[in-house]
Amino acid sequence: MSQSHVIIIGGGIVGCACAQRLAATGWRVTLIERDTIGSGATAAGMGQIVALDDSPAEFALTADSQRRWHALGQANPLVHEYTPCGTIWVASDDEELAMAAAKVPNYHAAGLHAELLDAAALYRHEPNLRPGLPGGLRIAGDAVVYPSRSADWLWQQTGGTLIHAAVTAIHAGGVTLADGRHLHADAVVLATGSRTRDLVPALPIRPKKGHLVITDRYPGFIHHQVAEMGYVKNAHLADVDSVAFNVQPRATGQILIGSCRQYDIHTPEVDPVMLGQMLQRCLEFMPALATLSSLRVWTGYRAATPDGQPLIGPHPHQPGLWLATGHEGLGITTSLGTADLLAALMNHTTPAINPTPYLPSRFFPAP
Amino acid sequence: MHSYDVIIIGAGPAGMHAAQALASRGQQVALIDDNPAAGGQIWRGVNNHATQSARAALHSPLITTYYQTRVIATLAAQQLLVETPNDAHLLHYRHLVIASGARELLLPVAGWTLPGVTGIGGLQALVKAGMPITGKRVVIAGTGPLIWPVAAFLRTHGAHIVAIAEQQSLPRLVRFGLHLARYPGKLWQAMSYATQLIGVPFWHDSHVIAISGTTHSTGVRIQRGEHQFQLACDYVALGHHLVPNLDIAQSLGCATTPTAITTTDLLATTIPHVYAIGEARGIGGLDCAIAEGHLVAAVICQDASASAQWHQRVQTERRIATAIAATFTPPHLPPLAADTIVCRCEDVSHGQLQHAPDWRTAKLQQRCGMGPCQGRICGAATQHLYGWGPDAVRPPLRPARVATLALLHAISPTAE
Repeated sequence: MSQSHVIIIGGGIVGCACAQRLAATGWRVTLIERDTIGSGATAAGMGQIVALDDSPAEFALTADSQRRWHALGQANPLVHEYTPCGTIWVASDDEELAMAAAKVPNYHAAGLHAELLDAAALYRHEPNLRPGLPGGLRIAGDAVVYPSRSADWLWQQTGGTLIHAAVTAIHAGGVTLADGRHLHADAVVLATGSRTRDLVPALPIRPKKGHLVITDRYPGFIHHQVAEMGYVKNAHLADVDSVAFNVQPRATGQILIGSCRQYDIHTPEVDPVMLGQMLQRCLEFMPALATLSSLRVWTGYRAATPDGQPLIGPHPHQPGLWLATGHEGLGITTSLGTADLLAALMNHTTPAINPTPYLPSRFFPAP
Repeated sequence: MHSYDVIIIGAGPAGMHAAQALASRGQQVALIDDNPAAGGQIWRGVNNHATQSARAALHSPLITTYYQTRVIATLAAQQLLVETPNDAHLLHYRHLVIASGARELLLPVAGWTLPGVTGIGGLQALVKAGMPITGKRVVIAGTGPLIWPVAAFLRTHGAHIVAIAEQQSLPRLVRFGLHLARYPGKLWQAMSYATQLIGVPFWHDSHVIAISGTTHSTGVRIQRGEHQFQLACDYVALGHHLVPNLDIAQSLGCATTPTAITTTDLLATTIPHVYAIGEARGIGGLDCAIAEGHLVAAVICQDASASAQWHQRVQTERRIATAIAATFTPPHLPPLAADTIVCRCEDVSHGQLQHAPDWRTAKLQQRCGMGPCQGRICGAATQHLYGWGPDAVRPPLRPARVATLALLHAISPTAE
């Protein structure tokens, strides 16, 4: 029997991870990328590998992915710049510290490390935080990677064909490119993140713009990814512009500073006011950032869905079209878990976790 | 927020003369420069009469100088965010004059990252800042009109100039000399350099193949036609002419070409209230910069007779600029070895870059241009080596403290 052929649209980390899993399970893979591999949200994001327990669905996918990254990172740390620095979620008051304490059993039940930090332990780990904070939650298994290179590495594992082109239409049995060529395949995977609606306008995905700042090298300034507990409350769920303190040590010694979220802004320019508000928020938590030298600021778009979960699985009304998109700010983490889920669904095998919460059909009324 | 009639970015000859001429017409001027004093990057401290009197005139109560100050962002509603060593300010202007000058084009060659290898203007700046050069053996190589005055300067400060290696051909250099001969002042200047450099070997059609040394440059290998020479030396001053600093203009949205900010004859850029003068308008040299400083002041103050007079002068100087541009064209580079570093901030070699399809991929996969210089050196080099285009300009235009960028939370995005 001849090999089945899949076309993957979008060479970000999600598309590359799916390509790697599908190739490993016997598919012949063609990847279509309009720019260069790992250049969209993959390059714009923080490269964080985090297990988040804010909903059972999010926890299942991030925890599964965190383990996969650990295995990949340990096997080839230089390629991925895999740095198992862990995350510290900083509580700004006693209420947030109580929230942090309530999370510990969840992580333990899933077999993950989690440790409640009192104030003394918090400052022992991260002395540059502002004084007067009550404590936090440390997740030691979290990590940081360099996503563009990981995406390229995942793609290199496939032996597939890379086509630099824009896709103008998806149809039964293939795609049409901007130059008019038709490419045929047994299946098409759409992994175009915030640009998903360019090709399938009915999907419920909105771009959420973010800004990031990177500093010069300050090795040892922070040791963990450090974020405010309010991050999820302020960032993921809110439907309005928001900022949240989130800093990350890069393998180079540089510090990556985020984060902010803006809906329905379609211009890539740096928004000075938003940038200023984001940094002001970070200075409130970590005043010592003030004198660090910022080298560069950039923006990017997350692909946000109404319920915060990605779309992984078959398009309910377009046979042969599979979706792997809508990963919001967690696409680097969840790319590996997504790839496993999608490949299992396409291969009719059993995935590692329950795929139901991520199925695109949840947004389509039953006929 | 401080507000000025005119903000001038760059306190080189063009900016200094513009500031003085504007203040003499009653304008409130802010003069901003990255350096600790006025005088400019390339012609730093030229002590002719005009420059001295312009520097003295900067003491006018109408001129506020911001030295060691970097422009970090250009903002809506005619505002700039600037950073000083200890502080940051938002400044407002009615008119903005970009006199951002030029920097040396440094192209990679084997050994160019060794201590002892500098730019041509860079070595002059080091010596002016007090670095001892007496008795040191110096090879000056590359291309551009900067070679001559710097060689003369170094020699009068006691350096032993081993050789000057210019990449351009003799006929081309002779044509340039004949062009200069039309202007008595330039001819006089050229002859004075020539007199100061009597006895120094000058080689045309020559370029550096490799610089040798382990912890410091100790020699240089030069290709001249079919032949190669090895010269022992302590310093190698290497430069491939100048490239204008365009990023502030680009950040404002002004149209630019690869070698100049686009302007009208009367120095207006494509953005209202924004003017460009001096090297940023295309490499034209000291006298051109001074004339444009005077012209922009006359234009802003709507002084028609002074405008006409300085416009005439600028036209003459720009003809020389055209000859400079035609003579010192981008050089032909010898093939690089795979291990030659191209991006010195991130230690990225030619071997890692030569197969990258574009600048974006090189940045993402190899981090080329992502270090502290933000591609200011290797960006020009990769443009020459691989034909990669430059990036869109984004704030911060220079590295800035986090606290400086945080100030932006309070700006009004549209008006005062």
